[in-house]
Amino acid sequence: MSEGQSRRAVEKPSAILYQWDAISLITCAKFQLEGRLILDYVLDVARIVITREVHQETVEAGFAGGYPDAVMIKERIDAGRIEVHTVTQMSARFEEVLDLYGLQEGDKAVVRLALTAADVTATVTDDRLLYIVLHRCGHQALFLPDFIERAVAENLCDATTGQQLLLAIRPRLQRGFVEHSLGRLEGVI
Amino acid sequence: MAVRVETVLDDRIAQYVNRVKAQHHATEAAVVQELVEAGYAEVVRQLHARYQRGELSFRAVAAELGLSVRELYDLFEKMGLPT
Repeated sequence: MSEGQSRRAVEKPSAILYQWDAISLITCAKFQLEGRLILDYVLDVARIVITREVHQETVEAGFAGGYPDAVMIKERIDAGRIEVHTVTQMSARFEEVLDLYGLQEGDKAVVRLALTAADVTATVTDDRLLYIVLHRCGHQALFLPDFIERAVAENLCDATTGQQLLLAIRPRLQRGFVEHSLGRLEGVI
Repeated sequence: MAVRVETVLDDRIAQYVNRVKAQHHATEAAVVQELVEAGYAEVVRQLHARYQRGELSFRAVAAELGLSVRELYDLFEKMGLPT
């Protein structure tokens, strides 16, 4: 992202709000591009909200385990750059359905926030089952590479930076995901 | 945290342990530990495959292994398995 683009994104008070799931958040708080956290590139172009459960999984458990990415996430929460929301259970019938999928408490909290927070545009997750459940609930789910592609498509990030971000996160993603996005950014797919 | 366990091995496994022990001049405990670790790695790989197919969520895999989400992320990374 160029200096100008970063400033433009920061100045934009109405930046779109995305919910972030734990795995994608850890990846973004762990990997860097040119000495800068991927998470900061993300925060240049979007607002992030996480559930209380994701906070526990990434920050509290991360601190307990001595993982530096937990510190990175906490600093950005403390600075007000990442919001943490508490969600309540939905109808008993719906909760039963979530149980039938085998979803855990943290998964269910992500679904609840996605479906109850009107200002959350989409949820970024690399969890296939959660992606499917969110999609089936009519909520937009994005894999992390899709989020980067979207930032490029919306001119919030230039294509070269988008490609570099994809390459930076490639070690943690299943083969094919990053290559697919790179192909689309290059306009060859 | 390491845990000491006493167990009875099946005949075939005992024969294998004795053969490897003699071949590599290793202790019985070391051979059994290696077997247990290989079994654990296989369990993790199988759960990872189910996660990748969308049969289990990442958190369900973590719960199955008795790990936190952050610990599982670390384990997958160490084993070269994508998240």
